[in-house]
Amino acid sequence: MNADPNKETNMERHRPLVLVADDDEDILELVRFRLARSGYDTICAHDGTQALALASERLPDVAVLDVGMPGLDGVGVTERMRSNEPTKHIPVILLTASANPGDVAKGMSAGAEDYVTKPFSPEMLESRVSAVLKAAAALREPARLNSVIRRAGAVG
Amino acid sequence: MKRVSHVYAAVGIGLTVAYFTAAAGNIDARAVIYQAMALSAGITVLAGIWVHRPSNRAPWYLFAGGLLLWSAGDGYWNSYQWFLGKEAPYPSPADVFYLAAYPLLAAGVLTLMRGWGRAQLRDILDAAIVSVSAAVVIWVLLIGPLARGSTLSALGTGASVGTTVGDVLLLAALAQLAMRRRKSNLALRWIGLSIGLTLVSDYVYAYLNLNSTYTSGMLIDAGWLVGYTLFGAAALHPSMKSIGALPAAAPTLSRLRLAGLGVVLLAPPVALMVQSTESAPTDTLEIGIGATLTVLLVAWRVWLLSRERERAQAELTRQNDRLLELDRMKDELIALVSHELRTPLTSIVGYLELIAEGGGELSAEQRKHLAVAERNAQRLIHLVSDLLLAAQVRAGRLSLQTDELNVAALAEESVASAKPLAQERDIRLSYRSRGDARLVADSNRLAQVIDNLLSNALKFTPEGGSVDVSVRAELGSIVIEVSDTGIGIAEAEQSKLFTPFFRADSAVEHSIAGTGLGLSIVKGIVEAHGGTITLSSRVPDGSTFRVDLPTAGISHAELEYAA
Repeated sequence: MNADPNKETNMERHRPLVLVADDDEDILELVRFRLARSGYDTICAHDGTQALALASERLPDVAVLDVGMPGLDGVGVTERMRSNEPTKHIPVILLTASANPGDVAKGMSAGAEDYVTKPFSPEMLESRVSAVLKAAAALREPARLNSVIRRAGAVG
Repeated sequence: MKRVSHVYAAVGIGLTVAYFTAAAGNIDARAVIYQAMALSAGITVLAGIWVHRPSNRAPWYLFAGGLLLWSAGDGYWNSYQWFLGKEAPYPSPADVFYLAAYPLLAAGVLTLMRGWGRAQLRDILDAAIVSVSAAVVIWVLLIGPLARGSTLSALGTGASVGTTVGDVLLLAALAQLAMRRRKSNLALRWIGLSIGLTLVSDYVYAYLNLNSTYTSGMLIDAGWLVGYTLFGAAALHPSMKSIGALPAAAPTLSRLRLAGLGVVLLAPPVALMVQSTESAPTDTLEIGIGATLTVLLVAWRVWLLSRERERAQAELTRQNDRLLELDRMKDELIALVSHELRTPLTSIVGYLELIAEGGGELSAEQRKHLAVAERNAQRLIHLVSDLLLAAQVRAGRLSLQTDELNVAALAEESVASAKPLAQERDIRLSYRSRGDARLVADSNRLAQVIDNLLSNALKFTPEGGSVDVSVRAELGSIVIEVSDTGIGIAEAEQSKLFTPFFRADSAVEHSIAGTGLGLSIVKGIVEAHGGTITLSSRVPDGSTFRVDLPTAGISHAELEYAA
């Protein structure tokens, strides 16, 4: 399934860790359950502040953030993650209840990798998460190869 | 009682005719007819009060009093004929009775309006303008010449002037009645006509009396006779009861009223001109006073009018603002509700999906039930996004994400996904395209346009029919046409078809599902792209929707519209 390509990263770094944040308990559980079923580790936040704290503390592989959270919203969390060095490169997928492209554009310009409009299919969300992880892995690949080569050189 | 009233009127008219025909040469017979009609009018009004018991009795008692006074005057006059075989001198005690009746009748007319609420200043002014102008004419024609001396004695002059003044009083009261905007009824119309006829006869009589040329039996007697008859008939008619409760008529400044006031305004200058062409001395001062009064009244009236207009304008603006506010609130509500619905819907469809793909413990029946729940949840999602889109279209906030795309490819996709439904319903679905149909547009929205038109066409086409979709490039535009052999749209409904929530009668009749949002959204999307949508349809042959999209791309104006 979709989770299979991640096996590679799993091997390297355990299972991918996904931060999920939504103020709606049911949706939070829906996303958590669906991702867990596909083999992801998940950590959950109920608001933006908690999400931001967990992001810096646990450094997840990807963050799924609801835009419409009270207080610090998903766009705000994305902005702060981007301005903080350890969380700077963690890919973000936004969940938005608004079909208004203006809101989506705001989130994307804040630095989100992708967005999903509510109501969404959990399967579709999972495939987006997997795609974002793959893209991130591809970006890291040259660096990883470099270090492998460097290590090989050091050994050799 | 209606019939009694009509019979009374008919007998009165009959007697009036007899007065001039059968009794033409017979002074006594005429006197009898006249006396009988005058007396019966007063008594009949009293009878009317007794029969109908109107809540407002004062006017009718006043009318009865006035009529009985006139009747007494007639009695004195006629006694001369009967007992002395000659006409009464002028003036005589009869004129005292006649004179005394005027204030009563005028008061009767004014009290008749009790129950109509307070008179509007504008109506009082209109009546005053009419009265003043009429007074000027009467002065010039009657009072002036009388005052300057006629063949009458001093007493006769006094009586004539008095009667004329009484007439002016009655006319002023009648003008007030006429200018009040009320829906009329028969009794009221008869009273008005009766007083009008009496006034005309009075004026002609006074004019003739200037030179003592009146003799009994002249045609002007008809005015008084019919006047008496109508008073009695009005009092007998059941509608006399409801005069106090007559509904107000629309307070419009009718053209007729304006024209009437205009004519009335001409009275002083015309009187002046008429007098200056004669050798008679001119009543310059009196006409001047009348004209000044009229001008002041008219100026007041115009000031009132302009103030009324300003108020109406302000009220209209206020109402308009309120409507706009309500409309905006409605759009906001729709946007808010559809937004708020998305979160619970996410849970519903999400968990349904989890259950469905979760494992094999479900029976076939359970799966079927899940599919029903899923299908209906999807329907709800569809409705919610349509509502949101419609609200955006209405608010002019539909935003587009444009890119270069091929309309033909979009249409082909739509047709392909509609194929199963068409086959299921045994509808022949065809597609063709011609030319280069590339365009800068919002592909999701444009796909929605084609999907909506196509799904409508399929919905409204009976089994065995056909639906055609075509895309072709024309000079400067790309044309999408969706035609069907469906039930067609009635001409009367075609103009309303694109308004949100409108549903054609035929759709309701054939119980075809829908919200009435689809076409309004289609129109909004097409217009946001700078395009147009037109419809040609005939019942029962089918409909063709044609969308024209300009290839020049989205102009500046539309971009602003989109923003």
